[in-house]
Amino acid sequence: MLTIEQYILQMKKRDKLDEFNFINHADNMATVIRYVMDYFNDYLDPQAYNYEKLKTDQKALKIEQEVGKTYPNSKEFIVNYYRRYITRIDKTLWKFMEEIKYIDLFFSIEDYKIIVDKFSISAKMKGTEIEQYKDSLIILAQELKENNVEKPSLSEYKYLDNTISKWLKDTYRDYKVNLYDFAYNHTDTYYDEYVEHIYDRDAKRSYYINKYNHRYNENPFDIEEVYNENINRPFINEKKGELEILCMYIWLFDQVKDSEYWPEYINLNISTERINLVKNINVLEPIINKNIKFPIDIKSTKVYLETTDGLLKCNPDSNYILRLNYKKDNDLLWKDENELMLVINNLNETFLKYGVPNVLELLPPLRSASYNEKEFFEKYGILEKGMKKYSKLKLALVNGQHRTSKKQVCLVQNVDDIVKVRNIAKEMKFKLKFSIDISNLNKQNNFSRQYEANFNKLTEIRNSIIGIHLSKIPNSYSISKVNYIEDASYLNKFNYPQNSNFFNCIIGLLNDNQARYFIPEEIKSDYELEELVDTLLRGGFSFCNQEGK
Amino acid sequence: MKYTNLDHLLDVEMLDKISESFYEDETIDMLQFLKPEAKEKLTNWCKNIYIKNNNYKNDPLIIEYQNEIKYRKKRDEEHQFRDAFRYSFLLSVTSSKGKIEYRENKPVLDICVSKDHIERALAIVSVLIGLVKDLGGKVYVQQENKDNIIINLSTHSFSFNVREIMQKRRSLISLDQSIDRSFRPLYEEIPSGILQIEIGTVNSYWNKGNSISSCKFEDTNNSLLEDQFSSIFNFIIGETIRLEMQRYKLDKLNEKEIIEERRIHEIKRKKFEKEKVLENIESQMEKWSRSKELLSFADELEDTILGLRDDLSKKLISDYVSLVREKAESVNPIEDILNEVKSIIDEND
Repeated sequence: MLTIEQYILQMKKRDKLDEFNFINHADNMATVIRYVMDYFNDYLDPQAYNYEKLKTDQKALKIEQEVGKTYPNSKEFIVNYYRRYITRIDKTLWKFMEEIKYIDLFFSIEDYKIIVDKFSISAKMKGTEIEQYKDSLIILAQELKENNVEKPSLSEYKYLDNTISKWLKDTYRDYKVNLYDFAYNHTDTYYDEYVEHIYDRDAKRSYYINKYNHRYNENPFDIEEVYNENINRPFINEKKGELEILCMYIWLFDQVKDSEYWPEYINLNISTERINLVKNINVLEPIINKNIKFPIDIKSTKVYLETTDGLLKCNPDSNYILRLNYKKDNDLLWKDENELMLVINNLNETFLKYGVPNVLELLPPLRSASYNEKEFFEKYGILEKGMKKYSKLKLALVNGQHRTSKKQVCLVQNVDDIVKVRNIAKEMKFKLKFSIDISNLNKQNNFSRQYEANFNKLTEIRNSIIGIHLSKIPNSYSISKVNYIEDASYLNKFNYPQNSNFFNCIIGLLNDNQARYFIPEEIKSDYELEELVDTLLRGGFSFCNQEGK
Repeated sequence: MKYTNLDHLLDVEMLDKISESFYEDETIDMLQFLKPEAKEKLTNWCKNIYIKNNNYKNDPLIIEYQNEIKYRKKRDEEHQFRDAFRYSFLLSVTSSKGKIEYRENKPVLDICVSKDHIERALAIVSVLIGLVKDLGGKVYVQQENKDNIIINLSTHSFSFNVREIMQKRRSLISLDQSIDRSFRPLYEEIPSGILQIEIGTVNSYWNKGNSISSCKFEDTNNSLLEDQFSSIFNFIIGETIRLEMQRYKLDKLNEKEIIEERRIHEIKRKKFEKEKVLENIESQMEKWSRSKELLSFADELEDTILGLRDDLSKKLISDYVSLVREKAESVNPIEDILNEVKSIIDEND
């Protein structure tokens, strides 16, 4: 039931009466008097009023129960407002707030004051004297906002660096702001604008065409603008890089499914110093082999040397990685203890002369009827003991070359061998690590057919892998420019290249934050090495000691 | 100065003296094989090449190139994902927005440079077309396969293309430290602004198996392509002369072969004719006997005329006798024999 003031206001609006129009002075007065009389004679009905009041009271009770838990501080305000104006002020206010730009980032009293001010002068609330409730509205706004925020569920953010996850957690804890939601809503506007969806009804197939050039973009999603407009917020200040990465993460993994770009993107951000504290992905330490130089932007300080008896003929002049081979098939050093002791002595001599290498790589011996893993570990134990005094030295077993003849099989030449030896070493509590010669593995007959399964097995033991040897990556590009994921095709207007499955397996194997050394094999010129390095860079590998770091 | 046929300019005597290996040696100055006046004219022309201020926009080949490139750009924009869609679905999608019809590339000038340098590349090609025309040759685009430019000079063909050299962003690090700050990968290839021309010979029917010789010209610190037209034409003219010489030699070789072939053919023919005559002898002999018999028959008939009293019968028999003699004459093989013997001994004299 309207109050007398509301009734007059309503009639005024209906008749378009203007009391300041002095021409109609007498008519105006008569009309208004008639309004008052109509009100008291016709409109105001005690019965109806009572009935209405009853209904209102019942509804108010319901509301009280409804909002009691969610908006404890504003409960009274909401209920009283309802009794007075028969509208749910909480719903009206929330609808208004949802449309505000950057609402996801609002957290402070000042923010809510701004909202309430805007709300008071908004078209909807004009003329309703809402200003008198400003204080209550501020409290309500805060409660509304905080009620609509969820804690970020970080178990889904597998590929996000820990610093970013921590940032999300801390921001929620301290300010009740869910940055993930903000980033999602922000990139969603770009999705709506730039991604076209076409549906093939007969084949029941969806096509998504992304027309936004997100790769190598200096200012993706207008992050610059977002940052500047929110720089006063403590959790945004000096976090422009992190904000951009968060948006890009959602874009690549959720929205356009271009996750292949992610590692390269992270590494580029680090090398151009757009972000601190985030760690590189797919890190390789470049090692110089046979004097072939790495390209100018990749600094390498270590060399790779080989020996068959433990002695080195020339001074490495820098840090080095030493490989203990044996001549042809004469693996006596692993079969005869005296030979082994001789080699150990030679190694001691070498280390004394030239310093201790970072890693001692071991070529595994040949298998035979009487020589298997058990016998190998007997000898290996002696070697590890002999090398114990060099605390920083790591021992790594390399997989040997694949041989087809059954007589001369290497002890470790395929993935199953590697896993087996690694498990035994762990059981026997040896400190043996592993170096994977991917090109050797690739030469096996079965490898190319089952490489996915093989790489999965290797990934499970990747904490034990400290280095790789690689010659070339066959077919690193995929021919198709279409990404098929779950019956939908994802296309890019800007034709981004796609990695081949094989290359993706290698990337997947090494995509933690651990730095592994990388030794190029079978490379004959600086140019060939540059090509290999570029393939790796495109796949998202980064090289420590890279220029600009 | 039009040289539609170089062969009459070659110093033929010199050619006969040189050995095979000369053709492979690329350092030899080919102009020495021309007659002296021709050599002088060409050398002067090469030295004095100057670039008239031409408006390349009028050349039909260039206009066609610009139109085709414009079309391809629009077509690729509209039909970019043609391969990804199912065929029948594609038709429904494209017909709804299709303003640009899809067709395969039409071969045009083989120029591959970035947007900023296309004007310069077109100007260079236009100058080249003009200079080739001056020499009496022509430039055209073969209407099959990929883009190409063919220069045809006195029936010898050369292929020609213009490219911009791409360099990796990494190679610019030493020149510009800020490269590292820009958000682009170091392996990315970017256009360098250095244009390169590649000219190569195109093999013809008569030298199909031979290797192709080619030469690249590019902008250097000392000279831009616009200043290298003399070297370019030195190469083209030199190669033309070399090819012409090869063909001349080949033709001569062919001539000798042809003459030899004819001789052998002639011998075979005569042998064949002689055999025919031999085979025919017996039938000629039969004809001869028949002729003789007919004649003696005519003579005997004539004798019977004397025994006849009737004038009419005499006349009839007399007419018949002349018919018989006529027949004898026609069967007489002596004419044939004369012709036969003529045909086999004619060339011997």
